[in-house]
Order: sequence, then C-alpha cells, then structure tokens
Amino acid sequence: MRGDEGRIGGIAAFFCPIIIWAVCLGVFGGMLTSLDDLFIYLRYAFIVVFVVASVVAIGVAIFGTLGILFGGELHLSRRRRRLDQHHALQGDKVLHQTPRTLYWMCRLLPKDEAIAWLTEVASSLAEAGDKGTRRRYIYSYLRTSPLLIWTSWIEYLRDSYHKELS
Amino acid sequence: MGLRMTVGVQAVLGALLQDPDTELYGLEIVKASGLEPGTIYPILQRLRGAGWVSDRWEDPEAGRTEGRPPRRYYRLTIEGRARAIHALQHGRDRSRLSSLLTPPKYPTGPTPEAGSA
Repeated sequence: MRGDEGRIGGIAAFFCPIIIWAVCLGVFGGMLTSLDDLFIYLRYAFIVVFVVASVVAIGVAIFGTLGILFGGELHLSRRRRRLDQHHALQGDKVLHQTPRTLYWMCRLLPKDEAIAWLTEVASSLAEAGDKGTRRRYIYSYLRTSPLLIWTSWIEYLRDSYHKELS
Repeated sequence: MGLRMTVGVQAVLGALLQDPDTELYGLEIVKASGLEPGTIYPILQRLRGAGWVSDRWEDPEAGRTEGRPPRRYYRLTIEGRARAIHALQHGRDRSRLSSLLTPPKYPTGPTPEAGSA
C-alpha cells in the first residue's frame, strides 16, 4: 500500500459520511417504540444526523485532501530518500537539478524501474551541459512518457510472469 | 523473443555495434544514435527484456569524485550481438528491396521543357 495514502484519504472522504448517516439512522430508528413517536424522533434525528454527518464529512474531506496532497508528498520524499541511499547520490545537487514533473512521472512506473529511470534521468540531466540542451532533454522525457510507462509495465509483467513460471 | 525492428531500435543497435566490446552509457548512446534521450530508455528496456543488452551501474564513488550521479552502462550480450548483426543486415536488405520495388517519384524520360530546349 506504499504511496496509496492519498487514494485511501479520497475513498474515506467519499464513504465515511454515508456510513455515519446509516449508523445515525439505525440508532434513531431503534429508539422508536411506536408510530406516534416517529415524527418527534425524526425531527430530532434529522437535525442530529445532519449536524454530525456534515461535521464528519467536512473533517474527512479535509483529511482526504491532506492525504492526497501530503500522502503523495510523503511518498515522493520517501522515494527520493531511497534513491539517495541506493546509489549514494549527492541528494541536494541532483534533486535540485531534476524537475518535479519527472518525479511525479516516476510514480507511474513499477517501483524498481522508477528508481532506475530516475537515477538515469538525473545522470543524463547532470551531464547535459547548457540550459537549452537540458530543457530539450526534459521535454523529450515528458513527451515519451506514455511509451515509457507502457514499456515499463509490459516488461515488468512479462518478467513477473516468467519468474512465476520458473 | 521477437523484437520489432523499428528505426529507433536499429539506431540504438547500430550505436552499440560500433564497438561491441565497449560499454556505453545513456548520453553516449543518444549522441551515437542521434535519437532523443526520452526515446532511448524504452528501447533499451525492450532490448534488456529480450536479453540482447546487459547493463550495470557505475560505482557511485567514481561518479562522486567527478561530482556527478552514477552512470548506467549498456553493452550487447554475445547472443544480442549476433542477433543485432543479423537484424540490421535483414533490415538493410529489406530497405534495398523496397527501394527496388518502389517506382521512381518522377519520370526518368526527358521532360517537354528539356526536349524543347
């Protein structure tokens, strides 16, 4: 579930208010003893349910948004750290040179491939020379990203399949 | 495993075959093949998956002394070398054959202007 914090937050933001609504309705429904009490209880029930559900919905929505924003951020920083540890790169220098969009793109690749790709990109950008060449390289990496994602996953699946067979 | 011989794959194989005993890193392949760096990586992935190319990471210490990240070096495997030579030869034959079969774009005979002059 690594890197799925944002997604979990989003799903929770969607489902939690529904669950709370259902629980509140169940509780108030259980309190009813006769049909005469129905309208009295319903009045209070709706107010309480509305207030509780709204507060929780707002809270969960905030949690979900934070999860999406900082969960992804957390995942990125974790991947950066792993990249640094793995190849003993001089983190600051390389990371300042590698644009953020490429980090976001590497999230779409299989885990090991992402680290290898990012290191190779960092390496080629560090040696690109002038700014114009560097910009051309970045543009080239971004432009070919669909092909890269497709090839990476196909190779990854093929490799996993062969490993399973053997 | 079959590998589709696109122009890009041929260019990368050509670059690696220039000196098959030498390892090349990404930027060297870019310069030798004339392709964009973004195109190179998926091609190398496919070649690696097919077992035509082997790779190794440079010792990080070597890069650090020069103040750069480690490079990833690629080289054709023994099997890959034989297959690459065969594939490139086959590709050349096919292009020669297709050029023979394709009719010329312009008529080869004298044009009316040329005849009148």
